[in-house]
Amino acid sequence: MSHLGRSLVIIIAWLALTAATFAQGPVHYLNKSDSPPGLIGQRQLERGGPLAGYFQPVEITAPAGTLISIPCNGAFTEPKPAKLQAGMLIGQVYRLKVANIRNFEGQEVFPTIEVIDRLYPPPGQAARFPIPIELTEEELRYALDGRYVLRVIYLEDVQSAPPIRQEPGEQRFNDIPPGHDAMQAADRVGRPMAILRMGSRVPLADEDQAQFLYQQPPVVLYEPPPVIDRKQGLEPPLAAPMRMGKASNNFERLR
Amino acid sequence: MASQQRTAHFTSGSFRLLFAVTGVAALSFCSCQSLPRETSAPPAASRSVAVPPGQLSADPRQPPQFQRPAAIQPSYPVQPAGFHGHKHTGHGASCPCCGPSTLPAFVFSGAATADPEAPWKPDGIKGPWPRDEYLCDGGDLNHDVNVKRDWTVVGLDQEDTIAHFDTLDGQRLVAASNCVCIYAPRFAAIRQVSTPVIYEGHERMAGIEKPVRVNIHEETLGPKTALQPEQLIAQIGLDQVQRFRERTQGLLVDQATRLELAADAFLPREELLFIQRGEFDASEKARLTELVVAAQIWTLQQAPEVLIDGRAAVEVRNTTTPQVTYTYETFGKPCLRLCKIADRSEATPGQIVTFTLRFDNLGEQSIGNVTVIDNLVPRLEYVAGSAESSLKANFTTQEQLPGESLVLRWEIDEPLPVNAGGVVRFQARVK
Repeated sequence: MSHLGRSLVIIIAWLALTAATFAQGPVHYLNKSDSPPGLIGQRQLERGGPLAGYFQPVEITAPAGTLISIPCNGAFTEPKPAKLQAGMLIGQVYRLKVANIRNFEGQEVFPTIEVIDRLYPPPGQAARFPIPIELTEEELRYALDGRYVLRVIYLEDVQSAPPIRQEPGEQRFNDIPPGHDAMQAADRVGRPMAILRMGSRVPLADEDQAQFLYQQPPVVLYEPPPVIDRKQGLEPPLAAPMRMGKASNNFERLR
Repeated sequence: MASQQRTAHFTSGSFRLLFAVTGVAALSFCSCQSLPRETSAPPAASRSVAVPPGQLSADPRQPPQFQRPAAIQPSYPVQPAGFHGHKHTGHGASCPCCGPSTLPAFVFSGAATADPEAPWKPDGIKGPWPRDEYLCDGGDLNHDVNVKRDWTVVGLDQEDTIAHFDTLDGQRLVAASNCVCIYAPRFAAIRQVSTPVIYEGHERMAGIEKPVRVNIHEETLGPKTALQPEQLIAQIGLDQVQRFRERTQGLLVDQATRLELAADAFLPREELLFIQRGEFDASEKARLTELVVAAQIWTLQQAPEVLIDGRAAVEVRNTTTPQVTYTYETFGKPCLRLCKIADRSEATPGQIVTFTLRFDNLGEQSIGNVTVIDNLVPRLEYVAGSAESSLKANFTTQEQLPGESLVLRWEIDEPLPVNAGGVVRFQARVK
């Protein structure tokens, strides 16, 4: 046993290790959905690529009547009704303020948004294809009740996307139970793009405002396109040029 | 002495055992590595099928005519289990009008399989990138579409758009179109709602209870590094929405007469000599490139394919042996060009995309039984009643699986003479 036995054990162990080497190992996920806000995005920046400095358009939609605002220049901006589009930096955390919730007027929810990846649309089309983030009435009610709502928005893989008709303005989502990792679940079916965290967290009276707002990272606000009433014409009529310092009513005919 | 013999016997036995174990392990390991990935045998390496004699003219002294058998219903593409078509790597003659026969598969410019060492491409790049943001349709994904003798189309993957036709010398050939890509990202979400009072997670065998901690991480700041420069000034130009206010877009659209209302007229985007008459004009190259997007049939890399491989004689073994053999000598090579364009390069869910397919007989002989097949990707929903054809054709649809991709099929009734062509078009809704 002494020499031959040891040789036999070594050979068997080598064969076992070789077989284990050729077998496919498990996948180790670096990012977890319960990471502190901003950590996953910062790790994305450390990986390099064209992420730093890019303002990824994000569109936040809420139920009708709800008011949404985002901090800018030290204070929350003028609330937008039910829809807000803004360009956000990757790796930063943006605090939102959602107010005038139906049946809960007077209460406010302060969700956070963390953009962790970007899109590569054709030039000039970035604002047409924002990352949609939907705040449903049910989730706002959950947050007001003290629950914690986590949403990982991901880009579907075209090859494996379910052939389900998706109406404009609606976002399909799947629920996973507590104890599971939403980042891993999203990574298996697509490319995670943004994380929405929403709870009952409110600013305290003696709390540092900058800390609550995550240092107010820079943001680009997008104005919605003007609403055109076709009954009144596509746009207001142009003013006629001045004639001898006086207003004229019509243009001169060119000959 | 006896103990020495036992020791020698034990030593020789141990060696035999050692060799046996090592040999069995090495044999099993090597055999595992040498096993093929697909156990099913690939089919005969051919993409052209001889037309059965019954489909040609009954009088062998007369030139063969194209006859589409009425009794044979077109069998829709069903990928049989274990079918693995061969790669098109230069079997058969190439068609001079359609480029070389050894064409590489369509790959995205940023795909890892194309060039893993390729650097990242910034904004403003030409072509679709990355893949998961684009919706592609057209081409032959694996170069394995084949038409069997009973008109069954095999190897038709999702996104594939092909046409098959018969030649005067009895071949059945397959031509693939180019690939059209539309920027149409779609999003979904994973939601998790947790209540810390109720949930207790036992995640390890050691019995560690790990409740989901809510709001605790809100008190701690994430690491903030200096990697994020502030480039607000440089990004001012990206705000395209505000510019739209001062533009007078749509003024003329309200009063313009739409060309779609005219019967048998071409759509506005089809005002190209190539689409209307099949003639390529160099001045239209820029507009064609814009419409075709990533698929440029005018370059060697993306030229359409016409495969004229010879099939092995397996298919005709069971037929009756002819007593008299007539040999027809037809001159010229068959060639069908299939080009696909879309009316928009980007779309959001719910929008309608119009596809136009132009096919031309650029070969040196007439072809018949031309059948254009388009297998839509699952995210494209065919708009019922939107299929059109410039030539008399029989249009049918077939659902692969309920609720999944749809196969559109145009069967052109008349043979296609040399230098003749046609246009089919349809609309699809982005899901």
